[in-house]
Amino acid sequence: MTTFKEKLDQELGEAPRFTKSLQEDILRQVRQTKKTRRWSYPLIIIGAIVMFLLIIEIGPLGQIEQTQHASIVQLAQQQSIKKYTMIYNSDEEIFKAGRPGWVIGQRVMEQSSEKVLLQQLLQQATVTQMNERTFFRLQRDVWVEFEKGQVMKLKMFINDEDIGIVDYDNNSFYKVENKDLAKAYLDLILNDDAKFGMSGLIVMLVIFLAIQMLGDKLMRKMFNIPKEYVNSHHRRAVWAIKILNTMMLMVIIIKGWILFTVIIGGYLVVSLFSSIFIDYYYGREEKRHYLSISSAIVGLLSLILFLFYIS
Amino acid sequence: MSEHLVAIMEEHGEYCLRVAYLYVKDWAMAEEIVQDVFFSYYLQQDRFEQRASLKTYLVKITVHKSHDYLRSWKNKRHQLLEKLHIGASKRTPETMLLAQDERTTLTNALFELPITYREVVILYYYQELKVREIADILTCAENTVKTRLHRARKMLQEKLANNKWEVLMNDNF
Repeated sequence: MTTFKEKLDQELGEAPRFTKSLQEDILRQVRQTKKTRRWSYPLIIIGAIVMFLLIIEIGPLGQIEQTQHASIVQLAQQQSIKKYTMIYNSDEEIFKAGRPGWVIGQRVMEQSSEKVLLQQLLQQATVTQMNERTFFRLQRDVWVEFEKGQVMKLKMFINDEDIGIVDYDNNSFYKVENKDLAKAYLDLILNDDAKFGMSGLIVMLVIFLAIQMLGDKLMRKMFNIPKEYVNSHHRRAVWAIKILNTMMLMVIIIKGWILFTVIIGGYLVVSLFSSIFIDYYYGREEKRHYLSISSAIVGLLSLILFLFYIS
Repeated sequence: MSEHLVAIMEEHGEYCLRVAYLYVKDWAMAEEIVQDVFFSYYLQQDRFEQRASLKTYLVKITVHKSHDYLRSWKNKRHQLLEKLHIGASKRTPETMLLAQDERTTLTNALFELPITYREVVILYYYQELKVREIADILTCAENTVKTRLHRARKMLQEKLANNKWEVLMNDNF
């Protein structure tokens, strides 16, 4: 014992201050409190996931357009096209195009020349047998909105000389045998393909990862946050969330939902909020949740930048 | 469970109470803080992973609880009332002599230090913790602890000029 400590103890009094009655008070307090498990955080995470699934189910992705129309030809003859979107899709079972802003990578056609071209195509379409479709050069999903709000989902199979159209809701097949129109439409589609580059995406991904790492390092240094987990429960919770998030991502990729903005936004919200909750619950004294919050900010900014890049 | 808690309180209660007192300068408040410390430990004991000693862990909780109290309105109100009371009391030669005598004691010199400097002295010289452990408890860098210790020693030197405590002697942390 140092003389400093000795002297300080003398001044504070040698007799023990931590009395039996104080001990009894603490024990009484402990006995009165039933140790309950805190369910609030797991419930919030489960709630967020359920909400996410509900949004998918009742949102625009889960809704089926109930508009009944006789044929795309009649509709195109009666009404003009307000706008339409187009996206590449080789899967015949899934329809990927949707309202502007809902699907990543789709092209929004709002210019009058583009609309007139599709209008002419649809007006000249004739109903044909499905088995006539044999070979096509390009395949596109096209979502069309007419002036009065009616919506059509079309799968288009484009050749140099003709175009096949499938009404996705009615599964009826149409054909446009006009060489000039087919050529013009093919040019319109090919004109777009080069814009969405893979190299740009990779550069953005690298920049995003670099900013994430830098932000993480900076926050750790600024708030003196250790790299190790707080305890084994924290480690288990973090790994459980990581596995759950990876599984969710796999499902999203397998199902082809990765293109939908609402799915990506929802996935980001669920994964980031669960991470913030876990870090706050286990390491709020060490300000660990600041790491998740900073990565959430970087993630959302990157998503916004990405959407700007592709639009 | 309560037997385990009793054993822990027997072993660690006294110094936690003294640390809390050195933070808040009030025995009644220090007792409240220590009650809170052991109650918190009981509720969240699964968070203690024995990476540090139990003593360091309990000191860490005590420090955080003391900080919470010092930041609270309860403490601010208490300090204000104390100042008003001192201002109102008459200064007689007897009280002035008593006050002069009080100023010479180590505890009072310590209490005159700002909390950021006082706490490093308490943890380093009184609790005899290492700089690394103090940095961990206060969630700051080791160099920050060393700087604060250096400044705290200088401040104490001015207040305790006639004494030669080791706290005022060496500077090797």
